[in-house]
Amino acid sequence: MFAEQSTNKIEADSSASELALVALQNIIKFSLLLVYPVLFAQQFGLRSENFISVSLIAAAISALLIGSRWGGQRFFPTQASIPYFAILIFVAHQTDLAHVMGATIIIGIFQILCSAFYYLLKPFFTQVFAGVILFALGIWAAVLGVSEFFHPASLGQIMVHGVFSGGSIDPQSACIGLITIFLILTAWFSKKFRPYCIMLGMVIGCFIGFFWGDIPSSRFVYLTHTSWFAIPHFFNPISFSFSWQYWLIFLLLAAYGTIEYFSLVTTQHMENGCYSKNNNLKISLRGNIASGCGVAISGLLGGFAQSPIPGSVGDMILTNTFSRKISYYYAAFLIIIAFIPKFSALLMMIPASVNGAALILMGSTMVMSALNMIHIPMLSSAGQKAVGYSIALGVLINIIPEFYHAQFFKWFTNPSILVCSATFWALTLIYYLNFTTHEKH
Amino acid sequence: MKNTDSQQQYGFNDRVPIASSIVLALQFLIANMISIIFVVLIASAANIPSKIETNMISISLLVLAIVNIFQTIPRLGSGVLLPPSIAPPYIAQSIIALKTGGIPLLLGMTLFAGIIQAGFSLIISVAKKFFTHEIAALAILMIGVELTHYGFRAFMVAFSQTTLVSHGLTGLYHCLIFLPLVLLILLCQYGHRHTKTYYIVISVIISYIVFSLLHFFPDKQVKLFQVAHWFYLPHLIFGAWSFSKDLAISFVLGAIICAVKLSGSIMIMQDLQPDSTGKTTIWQVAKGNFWDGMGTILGGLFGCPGVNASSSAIALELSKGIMSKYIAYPLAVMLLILAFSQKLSYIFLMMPQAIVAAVLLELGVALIMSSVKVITEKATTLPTQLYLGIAFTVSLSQEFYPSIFSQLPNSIKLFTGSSIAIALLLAIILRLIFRFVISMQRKYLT
Repeated sequence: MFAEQSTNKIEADSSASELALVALQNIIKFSLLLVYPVLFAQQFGLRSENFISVSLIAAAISALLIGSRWGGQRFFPTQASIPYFAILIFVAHQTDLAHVMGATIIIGIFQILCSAFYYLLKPFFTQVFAGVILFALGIWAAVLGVSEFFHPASLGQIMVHGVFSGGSIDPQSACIGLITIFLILTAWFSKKFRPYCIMLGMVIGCFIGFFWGDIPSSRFVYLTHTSWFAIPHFFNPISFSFSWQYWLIFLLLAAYGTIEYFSLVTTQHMENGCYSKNNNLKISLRGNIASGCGVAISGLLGGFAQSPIPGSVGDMILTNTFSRKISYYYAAFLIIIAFIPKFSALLMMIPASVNGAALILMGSTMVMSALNMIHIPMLSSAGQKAVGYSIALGVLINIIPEFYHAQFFKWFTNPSILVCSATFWALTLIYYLNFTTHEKH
Repeated sequence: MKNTDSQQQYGFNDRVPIASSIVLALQFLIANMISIIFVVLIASAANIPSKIETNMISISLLVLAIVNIFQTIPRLGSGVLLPPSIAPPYIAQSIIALKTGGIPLLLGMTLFAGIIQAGFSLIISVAKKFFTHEIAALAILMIGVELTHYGFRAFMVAFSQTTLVSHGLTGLYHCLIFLPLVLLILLCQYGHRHTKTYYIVISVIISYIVFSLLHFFPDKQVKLFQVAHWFYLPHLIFGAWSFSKDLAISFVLGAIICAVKLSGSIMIMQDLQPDSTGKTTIWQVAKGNFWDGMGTILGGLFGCPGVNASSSAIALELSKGIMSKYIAYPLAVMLLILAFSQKLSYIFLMMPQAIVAAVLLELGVALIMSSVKVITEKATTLPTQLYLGIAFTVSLSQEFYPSIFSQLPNSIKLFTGSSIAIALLLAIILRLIFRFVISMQRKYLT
């Protein structure tokens, strides 16, 4: 057990400097997701700085909504939406920007509507289920981290078998990643620096990467050509188109995002020792509605969809920083960066292996936290069976090529969430599970 | 005496009624015979003539029967029910050995690996310092993942075998592929206590009946069964061995994985005993490793690939709490009967891929949950959880991205060739580093 720190509880009364540093840590860790608005901007011939600025403003609004009293008062860093990334890329390739914005709004609305599932399917939304989903998220994060560890080109990859798979490994990159892991762990073992261990490790790792020439020249070029100051153009003409061709996929994805959010909230409550089922559902409902609003607002503003980052809970568990007040500082930083594109370009220069190192640690933490949350010794044999099949199939879906290349799964950034959920609920129905050690007679 | 603990039905020394022990032995036999299919795999990959393949299968069964008995004798072996099987860690290198040097090289390298495997028992007291219960459980967890992986792949093979059926029955066949798995999932939880205990035997028998009534067996295998002899005398291949330095490291790695798996299994099973003190008896583990290695030595001497405690059998023991060593005797008798009866052994070798897949998936899941239970009970501190998490996730990534790990330098690839090896190596190294850091912190900060 480590010493008390002031950001370790949701309702902690923390100093501004502590909150700001933790917020900055989250900015640094998850800023690489900015690469996706850049890709989108390039796809549609937009000025990437403007698109990033609008997206960051949308992210700030989303974080504030979730951190507000109405939104559940929880801190979750928001950035380029990971659950909806795959489908939006697909829509972008098939259609045009107007359809992408329309799809973003539709998905946001669907996510708001899917919040009702928390109460309609209340028996299924349990702590154990949240643990299963967290396990799948942890595996996903750590495996992506390993990919980035060895492949400089894998920077910011969020699909396990995505566009950056394959290629040759870079030993220098891996060395920098190892050093970064060492630095993060050194800071982690020191209780004083634990809340900021990821930031410290990554910053020093970046400097090492810079001096060893591990940063691609294209990023220096991008940094050079990015302006210091930009005003987000909210009043650019934005058109919206709605194609109902993929409405079922949008609905499934919104359910996927809803399930993911439930897992994140439950994890926070479990780690803080303040879990109660009814309160958990209430907070999840509010937060998911707020998150859905954030996604819809992103589309209305003409930016990339923004939603809570699944890997952020790993960051929180590892650094033990859960204070909800961090969201205000996080949003403030996002707004500042929105007006200073040079800073976001600087953040995008973080070497892949440095980011990968942090991801490996975060993902590992999530996996172990999930196993604690599931608390297998307390489950009945039937419950253990349901959990076992869920996590086994969730892992295998990303190992067997015939599955992860299937057309249906290509719309999901992390198909194991879907498989885990479906398997767990199906077996729950079959077994009429009562998750205690007392067998039903 | 039957244990009343609901988690465990039969402890190490509990006597089992004869009828129950026969049925339970049959259940373990089904789990074991899946590994004999590896012999077929090795033989077909190396284009071995069918006569030699038949002989190899027979000798394998003979060796398994011998090791099975000696392993359970407390004065000689571990005294624990650890049914052996053909060891998966040796499959890839066995195929290479057969292709490059034929039977003599396979037997020579197997003999070498067996000596290493048995020799591990001599250093077990030293290795124990590095090999804690949670690391043992991590090894078992990775084996469980591997089993489920094999099971899933077997499902893919079953799906592709549509030539077995006429066009009109393809849909029915695809539905019936799931029958064994559905039966396993339902029977293990519903029904009478005996149904839940013998659920694998019941599921497999029902599936066999359904598949045979609908003629869903490959014609080639049916013909082989029809021409197989009731009585078969295996020829011991003695006196033909060779050695290759190039393959030595891979066989040593296989031996280490086998030793670690066995040690971990004994440690976890000891934990589950009602009179367990929480401390592992080193000599039990050492003797277990010795006889496990002896099995591989016998395989190298007489003509079969290396052997190791069966992952499927371990999964069955941990999930159902059936660990009585007295089950080994009827199991050994069954193995001996199959060794000398080609026709009876073919009944198991003909096992449809759907049944193989279902059994492997079910037992893999059981192994995963048993090991996770131990990990969550033993890994109570944050540093322990962190190093186990890192070891697990990084080793799992080897399954996700085999191309990354195949590009590593050869010296590193020797140790990262399998996810189990990566998990163990990382866990041990990280544990040592973490312990060092914590001790430094205590020294300088207190």
